[in-house]
Amino acid sequence: MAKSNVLKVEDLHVSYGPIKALRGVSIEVNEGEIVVLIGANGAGKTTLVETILGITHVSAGRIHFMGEDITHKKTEHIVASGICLIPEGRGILPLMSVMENLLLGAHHFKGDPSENLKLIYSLFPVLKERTNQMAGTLSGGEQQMLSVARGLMSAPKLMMLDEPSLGLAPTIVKELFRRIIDLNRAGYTILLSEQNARQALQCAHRGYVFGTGEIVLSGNAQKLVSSSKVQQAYLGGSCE
Amino acid sequence: MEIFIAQLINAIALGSIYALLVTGFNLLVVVGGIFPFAYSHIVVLSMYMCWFAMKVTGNSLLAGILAGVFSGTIFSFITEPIFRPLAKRQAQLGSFIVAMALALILTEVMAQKLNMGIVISIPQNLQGKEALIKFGAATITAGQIATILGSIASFLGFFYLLYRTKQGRAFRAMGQSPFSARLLGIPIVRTRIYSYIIAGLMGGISAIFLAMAIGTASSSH
Repeated sequence: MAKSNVLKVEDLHVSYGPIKALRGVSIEVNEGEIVVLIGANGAGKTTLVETILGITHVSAGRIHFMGEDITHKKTEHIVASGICLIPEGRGILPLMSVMENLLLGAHHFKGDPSENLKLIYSLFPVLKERTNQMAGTLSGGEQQMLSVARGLMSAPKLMMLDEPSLGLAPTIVKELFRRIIDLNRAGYTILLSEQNARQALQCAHRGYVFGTGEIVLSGNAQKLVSSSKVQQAYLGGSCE
Repeated sequence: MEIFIAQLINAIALGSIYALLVTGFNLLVVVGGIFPFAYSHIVVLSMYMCWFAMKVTGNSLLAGILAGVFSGTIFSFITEPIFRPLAKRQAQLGSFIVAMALALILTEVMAQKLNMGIVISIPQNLQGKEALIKFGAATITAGQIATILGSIASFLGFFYLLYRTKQGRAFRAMGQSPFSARLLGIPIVRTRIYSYIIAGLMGGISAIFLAMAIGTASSSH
């Protein structure tokens, strides 16, 4: 049975003044998938996820989430509708406790956040131990866990992770990708933006390869892993 | 010793007012994203409103207090749209200049238009000069007690809001990182508006306590 479409981006154009950051980008994410966006630094991956969340203004094109047009909606409405972004650099609030950071993740959650907390503590037991600790005093890996956990507090229908492995030790990165797979198995739909192409593709179902501001290749993640073009595009060259 | 205690009480009462003022001011700096030069002017303007309400109601305490508190809140609230585009662009110099201009305008309005520029005298019944506690030559007045208790109640309310409520967490998140707050779905504009309202409320309360403590108000305050 075909899985339902969670996110559909059609012919998206985004500009920063005279600079065209995205040119005709189209992607789809289906329920239960891990979809990865790979490409070199500055290729437009972060712009795409931030545009989906309403942070960046759309010049042209449409974004549909769960069948609803969210192209020009405000970020707070998009977050409330079920998308969360775990940003590059984690975006935790260092002078607030772990618990407060987690509760901020549930800003739009209508139910009882304690149920979500139970799930999060089972996935990330270290956060339970650190619950009253200032978030800024956590290690890099723990901060990344907190950032992911904070996103989960809103019980999102789509999780977007932007460069989650950035600045983490290789062993932590391995652990992080394992957690991403666990989250997907638990039912979360994930859109992952990563420079760590090989590792990201190994955990994903499908992928899109970014050139500079456009998608140059897409398809099944396993096929992309073995594609010689992937390495070329990842390094910023043209695929064609 | 008596004089020392009386002076200490006086210092605590005055210090409480300044602490209230600084709290409202800082809320605008941290959450509102501006440097609110006109904040103290709004407080003095609220003292005028308190005086005016008492004048027209035959020195009604309730009318004076409500007028002071509400006018502080409303004056602060209506300045928000002036600063909104500047805060959005994080134009610190721009907001600095606009705040100074607003302060100058309010000073001129108070100096030229209110009570024909003459210093206003707060009615005695609001000042609370009657001694509640006497020990030797020293006294503690009803105004001082009301200021200290009122300030403590205001701080408790404010810190409860800041540390125990969803809105308070949103304020603190905005103060630390407006970008992270936005990613979490915190409505930036609405949260900024709330910060102006609460800062105005704190300013209005400060205006009442200042009216009690000083007993007069003018554009030069």
